[in-house]
Amino acid sequence: MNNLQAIVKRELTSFFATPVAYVFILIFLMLSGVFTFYIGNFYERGQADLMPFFNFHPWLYLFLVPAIAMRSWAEERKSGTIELLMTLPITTWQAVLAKFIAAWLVLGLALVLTFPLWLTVNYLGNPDNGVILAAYLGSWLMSGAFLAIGLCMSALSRNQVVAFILAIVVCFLFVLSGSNIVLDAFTGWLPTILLDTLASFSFLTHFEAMAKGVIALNDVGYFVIVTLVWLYGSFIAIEQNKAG
Amino acid sequence: MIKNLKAYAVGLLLLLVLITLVMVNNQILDETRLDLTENQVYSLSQGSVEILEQLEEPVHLYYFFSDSASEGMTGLRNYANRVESLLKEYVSASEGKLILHKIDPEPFSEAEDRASRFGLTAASIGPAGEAVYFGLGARNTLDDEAQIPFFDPQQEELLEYQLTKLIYQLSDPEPVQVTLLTDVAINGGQNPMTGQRQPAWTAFEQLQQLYNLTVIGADAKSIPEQTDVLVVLHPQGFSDSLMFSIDQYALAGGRVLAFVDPHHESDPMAAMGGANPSEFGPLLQSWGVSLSDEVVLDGTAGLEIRTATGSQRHLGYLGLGEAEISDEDVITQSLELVNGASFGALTQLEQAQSQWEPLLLSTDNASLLAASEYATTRDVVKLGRAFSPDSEVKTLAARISGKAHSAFDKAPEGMDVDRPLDETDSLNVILVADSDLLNDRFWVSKSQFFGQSIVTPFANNGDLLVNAVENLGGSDALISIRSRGTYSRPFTVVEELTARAEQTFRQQEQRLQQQLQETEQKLAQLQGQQSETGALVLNPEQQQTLDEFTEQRIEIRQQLREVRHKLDKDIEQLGSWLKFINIALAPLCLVLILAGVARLTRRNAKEVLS
Repeated sequence: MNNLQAIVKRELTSFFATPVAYVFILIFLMLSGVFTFYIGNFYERGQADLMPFFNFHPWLYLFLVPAIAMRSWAEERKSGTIELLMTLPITTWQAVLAKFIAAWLVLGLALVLTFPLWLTVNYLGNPDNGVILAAYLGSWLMSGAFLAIGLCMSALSRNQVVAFILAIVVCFLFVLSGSNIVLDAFTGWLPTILLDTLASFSFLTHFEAMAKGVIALNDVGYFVIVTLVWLYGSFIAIEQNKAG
Repeated sequence: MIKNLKAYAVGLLLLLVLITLVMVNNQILDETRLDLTENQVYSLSQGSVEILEQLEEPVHLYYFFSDSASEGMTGLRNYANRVESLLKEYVSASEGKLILHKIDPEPFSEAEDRASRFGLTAASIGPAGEAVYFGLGARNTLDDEAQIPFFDPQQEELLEYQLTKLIYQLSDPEPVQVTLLTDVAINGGQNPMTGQRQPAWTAFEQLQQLYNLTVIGADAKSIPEQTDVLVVLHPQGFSDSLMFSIDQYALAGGRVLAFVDPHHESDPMAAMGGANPSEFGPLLQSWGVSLSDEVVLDGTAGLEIRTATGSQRHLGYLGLGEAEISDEDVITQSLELVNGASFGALTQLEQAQSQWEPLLLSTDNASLLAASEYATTRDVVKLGRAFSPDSEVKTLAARISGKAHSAFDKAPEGMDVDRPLDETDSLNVILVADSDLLNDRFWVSKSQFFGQSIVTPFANNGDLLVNAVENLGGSDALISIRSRGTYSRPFTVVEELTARAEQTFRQQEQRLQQQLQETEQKLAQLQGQQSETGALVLNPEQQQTLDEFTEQRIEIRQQLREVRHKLDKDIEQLGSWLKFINIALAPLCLVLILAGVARLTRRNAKEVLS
């Protein structure tokens, strides 16, 4: 456990030692503000809730999370530090988990720093803060799923840009899987239970359910499963690479 | 090559694991949920549990969902899962009294016939217009039936209420007998002005669904004996014998819910003349209350309406929010918004012996305007000019109970009553000083959802009516779960700003308008003189005066435009500030603070190391 803590700390320090984390957080805060106020028409709507803010999270994460994840393994492999990392007395699984936790904490911090918007909506009216809390939780869980995919793509590729693009493509599939565009392609020849499962693969469906104010175990379970499976994917990719 | 193959195999295996786990997750973990909403809108409430506990006989629920026909309709299928899991919660809370049957009514099957026998209709959804059933039929041991024709995903917040209401309808062996006494065309009918057929008011349909409803008009001589609750809507032209009958009914402990109004404007004929007031005075007086013949205007609660010149606040159309609704009475405590028009003010008479509990109030930014003047004022702006707030809160609805005396010394001629009651200690009356609030346009919107007519409430007016009837009828169980949903959470700060700005600028506008009128009058006079004299050329002084007036007019018009513009300036400014703070200022400051904290932590760590 101490190993894990130490390596999480090392990862976090490396985030904040360079401008990466700051730039990411700044862009996230500014973009979410722009989307909320200008595209979501938060002020003109006149309703004391944060719907216009949370509605754009899947789309913000779609680009921003792969950006923060792309360097994690690709950079280590390119610069050769991965060998150094693997000589440390830690397991590959610990390394994978530590990288994930560190980046996830940064995402959590970015979310926490959107509190001025929460203050704003509480100043303007009387929002249902329970709903807002549930949406924050949902958003953080969803960002974890995006991140796990991004990390896996980074573990698969030596090139950061390739990792970034691959991550966007896979994340996009996960965002869209519940939409009619994807489902129509399978309707008719896939059994209903598989079609329902496919529909339930969408990040949007699970996030929207949580953003309503209900933390259902299957929504949480879904994000946890997706995150763990993709992290396991990273683990395999790194192990294979080590073997090769 | 082998390495690649292995990698693909591992990838495929992982994908299979993912699919399996998600499938298991969907099947097993779909019932545990934590509801974080303020009013617990997505959980089974105590009221529902109480109703389930009162169930004496089993009730069969037939849940129809076209599982196969709805393939690929993600949103609808998710909602269907939600409905099913809630139904299962009901079943487990009912201790065996509810029996759930899930049916997939495939086209041309027996199950489909069954669905239509329950009165469920299929909605045509999807690219090919598949017929999808998504409703609920229920039957008790006496073969009474009730149904929800289609579950509208837009109304998820009302889902529990719909289900509990359905069970309640089948559980109550002796429904409340409600008598509705009115001449208002709430049952629909032909509009005398346009000749078009109008639908029945939703409030009326709601009463009909929930209770045994008898409707009588002003021509009735008395109220039916079997009346648990008497609802009087906009009383007018009642005969003495009918009034006496109501009086005696109330004195004998009968429960009365009356909607009285200084001006009932929902009557299409009311648009023709002056005020259209309710005539209930003697009875109100005997209960210790009086209704103003003036209409309440409210500068804060006034609703924004769309006019030809844009959106404007109508001071006579009130939207009463939580601050104006009593949270002490069971019938109003769960309400969030009640809309109405031309409310009257209720006051307790000095000599009244009855008890008085206000239910709906105006804000303190309100004033009164004679109903006759209100009725003839079509222009919203003119209404604004007649507004002069007196910082006194007006009572718009109240519960009257306790002691009261009869409005009649003796029974009217022709009525054979042995011993008319003189007084009572147990009066039970709820008075609402507006009858328009039951009209659909103040609280529901109707739309079509895949061929189904869907009624969506945007205010709690219907809940107020049903809560009151239920409370007076002796059953409170449904009240606690009704309207737990949130209808509207407006920006209160912006609303206050609007009200304040309007008040300040209205006076200014009024002054300018007056000046403009005077100037235009003088200008017209001057121009008139010119044509009377027939002179084509004005002398220099006349010309100068004319020029001055013209200039003054332009200036006043300009000022008027500015006044209009200024009205929204504070609000716009607040919006701009909030945008600036949230998009630029706060992010920059927060990131700088973060960088500072990180640097400090690093320096401390270095010092510790050295």
